[in-house]
Amino acid sequence: MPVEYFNPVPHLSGYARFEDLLSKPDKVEIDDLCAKVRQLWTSEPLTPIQRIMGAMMGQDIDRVPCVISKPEFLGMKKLGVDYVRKYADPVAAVKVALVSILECKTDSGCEYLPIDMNLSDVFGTKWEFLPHTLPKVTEWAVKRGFEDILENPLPDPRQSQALKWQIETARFLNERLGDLSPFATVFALGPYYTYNACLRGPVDGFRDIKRHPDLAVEAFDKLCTFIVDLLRYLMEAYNSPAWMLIESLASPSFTSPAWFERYCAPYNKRILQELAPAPGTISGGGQGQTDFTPLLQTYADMGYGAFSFGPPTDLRKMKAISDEKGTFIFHWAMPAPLLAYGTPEQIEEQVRETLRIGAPGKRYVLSTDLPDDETPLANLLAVRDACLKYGRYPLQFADAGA
Amino acid sequence: MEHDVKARLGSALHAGEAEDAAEATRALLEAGESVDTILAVLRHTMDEVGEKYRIGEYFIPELVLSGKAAEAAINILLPHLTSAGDRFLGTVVLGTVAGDIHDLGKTIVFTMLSAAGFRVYDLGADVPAVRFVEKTKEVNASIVGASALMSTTVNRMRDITAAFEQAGMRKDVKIMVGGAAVTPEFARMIGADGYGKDAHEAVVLAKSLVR
Repeated sequence: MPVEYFNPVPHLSGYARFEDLLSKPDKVEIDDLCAKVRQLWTSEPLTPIQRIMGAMMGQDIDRVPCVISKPEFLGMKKLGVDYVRKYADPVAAVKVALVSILECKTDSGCEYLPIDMNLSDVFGTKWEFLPHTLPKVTEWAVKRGFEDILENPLPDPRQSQALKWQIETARFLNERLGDLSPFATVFALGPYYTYNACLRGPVDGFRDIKRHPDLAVEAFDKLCTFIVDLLRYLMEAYNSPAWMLIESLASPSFTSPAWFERYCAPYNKRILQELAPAPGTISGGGQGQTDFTPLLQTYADMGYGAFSFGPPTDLRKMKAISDEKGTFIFHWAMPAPLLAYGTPEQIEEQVRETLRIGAPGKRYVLSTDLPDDETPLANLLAVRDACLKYGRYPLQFADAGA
Repeated sequence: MEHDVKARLGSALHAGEAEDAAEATRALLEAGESVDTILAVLRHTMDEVGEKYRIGEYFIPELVLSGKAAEAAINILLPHLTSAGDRFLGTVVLGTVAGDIHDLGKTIVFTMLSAAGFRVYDLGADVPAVRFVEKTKEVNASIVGASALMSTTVNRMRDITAAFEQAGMRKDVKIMVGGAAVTPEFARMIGADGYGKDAHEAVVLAKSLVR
């Protein structure tokens, strides 16, 4: 069966480059926004990307990097762009990204994802399935079993039109922002998560594994090949030095140690080996209350150079491992409900307490969880203000080491 | 013989084999076993499954598959249950909040509540707040369960409590919330009546809410 490449952006098929989509007014507007972002990001001794890479590599940095994750709703509100337009129109998406950066003054970039990352970019979701909300965009209706994976060729990410425009947009921003380029890390879903969350869905996925453990091992091995190829391609296309592997369903809350050892760890190790020595490799966690604490040492022992987890995963344990092994921590520290409903004072206190534990040693980035669309801008700015207040090195906490 | 089939039903539920569970249920009905007895087997076994999950012997995959097997068995029993409303502990309307298409956790809760003896109406995923209100009115439910996995959608739960306030029904229903993005503090913050961190807790909570 030939691979079906789904194209969620057929209206862009007559265009080759991002620049081809730009009208004169668009160009002026984007140039102006880029100049403002440049002004924001050069207003401190280090630029955000220097700061983030510095934290990743254990270098001397001025303060804790502060990332507001996925703040695009801010730009969408300001520009009156809805989700469908944002995903269908790369120019609108770039404006949204730049305005969002300016609104919340984040130390990171915003992404343009026409459909979803990884395999779903390539196999694709039905365009008509897209409703007007982000979570629906990330759903993948395609169901593929072990036999499909084992008997058919895997898709080539280079053939994906969704991915092409994602990369083309990043390329344009990379060129416009030059050494300020915000794309430090590319993402991929691990084989276990890919199969159980994207390809089959958890119920069928778990059943498949239980009934056909040997096929599972073979299929995950084949998916590994795809994921390594995809990460290599994305790192090159984004000019990104680091990569992140997201295995949310492989958390101890979801998966038994026995399944983790058989269906997750070997593939994580293989991907690490094949992509070595790329720096800053990050193991990805899940949203919400996914607790990876029991696996932190395992991840570090596998060779991951970074953690990317949030509460309830134990920050103190992450920090202890970081201190011992130099593991970088990208910390999803600020829960979405607190961002939406907390007061700026509560947020400041949470940032202060979090930095007191995580920031000493400088291998730490403070990030928010993904904020709800109605999160007040004042609360996002409170995260940044508190980070600037308490996160400057040398830290001023009584018990801070550095 | 019947004892063997009951054991087969229990084994199928533990193994998460939906077809076997349905087949065993059918066989028990054909052998003249009462619906109450079959339900007792289901509830007892699902209690065991829940306990094994609680003590860390089973994980989400086992819970999901056992839940699906229980659902298959309940579907066989359903035609025999419709005239016996008083057999249910209570009526629950369940759904994943608007904007969130993740229904794994909610599906587990659905099957565990069903197996525990509740009449459960599953509205599915991406459910607007007003739909919870409409269905609750329609089936005269006493409990509403809302789930959210995404941190970007968790705040839609507040819309549900607000919708019941607006409809003048808030005092008539208990609202319980759960899902990966929800915390007990958040549940209190939005005025929910209870929080369950997993399906096992949701069942315990629902039982306490109908007392």
